[in-house]
Amino acid sequence: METLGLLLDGFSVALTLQNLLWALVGVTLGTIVGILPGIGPALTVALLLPVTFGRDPIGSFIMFAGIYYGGMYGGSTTAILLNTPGESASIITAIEGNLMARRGRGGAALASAAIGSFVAGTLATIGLTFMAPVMVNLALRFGPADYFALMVLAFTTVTSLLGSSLLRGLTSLLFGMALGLVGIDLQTGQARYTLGLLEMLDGIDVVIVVIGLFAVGEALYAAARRGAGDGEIIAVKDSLWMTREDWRRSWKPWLRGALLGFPLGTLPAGGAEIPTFLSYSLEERLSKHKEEFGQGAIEGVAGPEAANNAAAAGVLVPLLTLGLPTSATAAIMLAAFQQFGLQPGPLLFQNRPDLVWGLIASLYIGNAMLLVLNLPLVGLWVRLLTIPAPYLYAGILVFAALGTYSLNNSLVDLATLVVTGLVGFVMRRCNVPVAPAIVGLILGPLAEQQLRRALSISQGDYSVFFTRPISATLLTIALVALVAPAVARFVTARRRAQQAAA
Amino acid sequence: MKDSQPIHTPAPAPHGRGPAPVHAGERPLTAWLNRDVLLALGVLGLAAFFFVGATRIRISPVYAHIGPRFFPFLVSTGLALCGAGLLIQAVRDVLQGRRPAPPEGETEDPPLYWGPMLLSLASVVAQIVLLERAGFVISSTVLFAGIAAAFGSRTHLRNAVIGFILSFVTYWAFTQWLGLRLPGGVLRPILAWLGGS
Repeated sequence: METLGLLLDGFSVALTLQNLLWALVGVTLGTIVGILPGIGPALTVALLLPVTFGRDPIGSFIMFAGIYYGGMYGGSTTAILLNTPGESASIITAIEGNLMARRGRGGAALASAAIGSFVAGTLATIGLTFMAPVMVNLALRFGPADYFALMVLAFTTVTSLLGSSLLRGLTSLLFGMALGLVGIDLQTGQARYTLGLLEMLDGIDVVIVVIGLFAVGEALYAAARRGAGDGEIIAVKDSLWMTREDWRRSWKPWLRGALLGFPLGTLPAGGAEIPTFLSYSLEERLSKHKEEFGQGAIEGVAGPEAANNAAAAGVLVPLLTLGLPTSATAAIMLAAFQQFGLQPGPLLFQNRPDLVWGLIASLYIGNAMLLVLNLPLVGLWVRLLTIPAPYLYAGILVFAALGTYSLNNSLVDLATLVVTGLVGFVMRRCNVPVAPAIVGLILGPLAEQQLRRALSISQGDYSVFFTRPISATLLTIALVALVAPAVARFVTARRRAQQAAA
Repeated sequence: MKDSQPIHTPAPAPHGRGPAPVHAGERPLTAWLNRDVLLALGVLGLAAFFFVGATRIRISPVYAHIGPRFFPFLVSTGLALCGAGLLIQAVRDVLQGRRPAPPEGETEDPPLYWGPMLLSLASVVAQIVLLERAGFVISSTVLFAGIAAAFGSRTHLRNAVIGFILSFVTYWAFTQWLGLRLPGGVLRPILAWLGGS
């Protein structure tokens, strides 16, 4: 009941005219960047950080959350009509939804995706509302050793679940952590890896790295690919009203998607991609229309789209209650908190309940806004897809340079942007996933701090990590997460070998 | 460095993903210069840089427990292990006559055009060179036109005009409404006359 009271207080914050406007700006921007290929929520929040500096943190976070949710909605539109995932959580939608659109069922696909996103997003936000206080109570018992163990768990799951290769994910993560070492050591004040540059004392800004890897690196790669990805936009011919049959076939996948997406999102498991894949295979197994899968089955759109929105809300649970980002967007949101001098975690719930609960309340409002924004106005958004690629990328890079420069009015930052852009190009070319690097860059320094704190409390005794129950449990899970995929691969390989022998 | 070119006649990839086998047998030196090998060497180089750098971090004598060097050693060692792992994989692939796997979501290695990529890079570098000399509006116009050209647009004058309008409006909005400071550069007299700031 206490939670409901806090939530009501949150609504009284979120329902002020000013904050409603921020939410509207956020969800609109989020929809736009979700629809536009080549620009996603992480990049958008990074680009907007300089603008929000020195403004009201509540309004800024309501806007950022709107961008985050909006990106999930917008991504499905591009996926369905252009067969290009606007962001990575829409990969599945791009397959089945686009096939529906080709069969002249684009309107139903868009409607099922949008309503499913709304249903699942709202359910997951309810989950967030009631889970956050529980997590906060748990988090209050966390000591430095436990936090360190939690971050180790996040590192292992993020690397093992993102991308195709564990080794490449780990390389990316460690690269990000190495970048995080640059600058003044927080505990002793020693300069590390600054190459004698004064500008490097503050460290490498995660915002620049995000813009460099996502905007510049992506643009360089797209330029080198030259015109690849120019798909055909499929016009919506049917009505946006779902038939009775569509409803009947969609509502269960929506609920199952939400049930799958939210818990997986709350785990430190690298965001919203995995639940969409799981939901798709689950729906295929349960469907009475198996033959339609691979030809445009509505369940294959409804389930994954619900799952990715629910997971997006789930990711906010560890971010807000533990200060633990598990996706690139969450990492940049954590950077945003730090910019405002705030540290997400149990103390934030105590010190700034207005901000935390205002933010959570705004998620309910944003979801409702997004449903209205996406269904009737979908024709308007589709026009965004007709922006020619040269202008799209040119515009993205102008804003990338602007956002980077306005952080500190420094040309050194722009040079860093170019270098990280080249790194992003190489990573893209070499199949190294980018998201672990972002998570490593933001979590690395925090992990180091907790590690050293834990060890100074224990007088340098490393056994603290195994004698404290919370930390021991978390480290065990981390080990399982790291070893289990390899073991599973080994077992299937052996079984296959046995079958081949038989 | 055209590592995307096939070493031999490429055989079709069996499952769309995974390295495509090439004819085993002779392996010219260029086979060793593929991007997987280069990536592994790059990671090893990075690890060496951070490891050597860690030994140069000064430790204050008053600080007893683990100091500012510990974590850098941990990270650079981890990076070195990853680099070694990548190198082993890459060498094994070359020895078994496999080429690097195509990028995620692609069935085969796409051809890369280095001209457009370098033009994009040059446009961003031009932004750095011009920003504080010529001002935001001019430098962003150059950046916009350069990127548009790199992406194959041939209407250069039109691109420049669109870029100019975009940069001008952006400059206006960001300095007047959002309170950011951007260099006015050579257009400062005009911008000041228009905006009064």
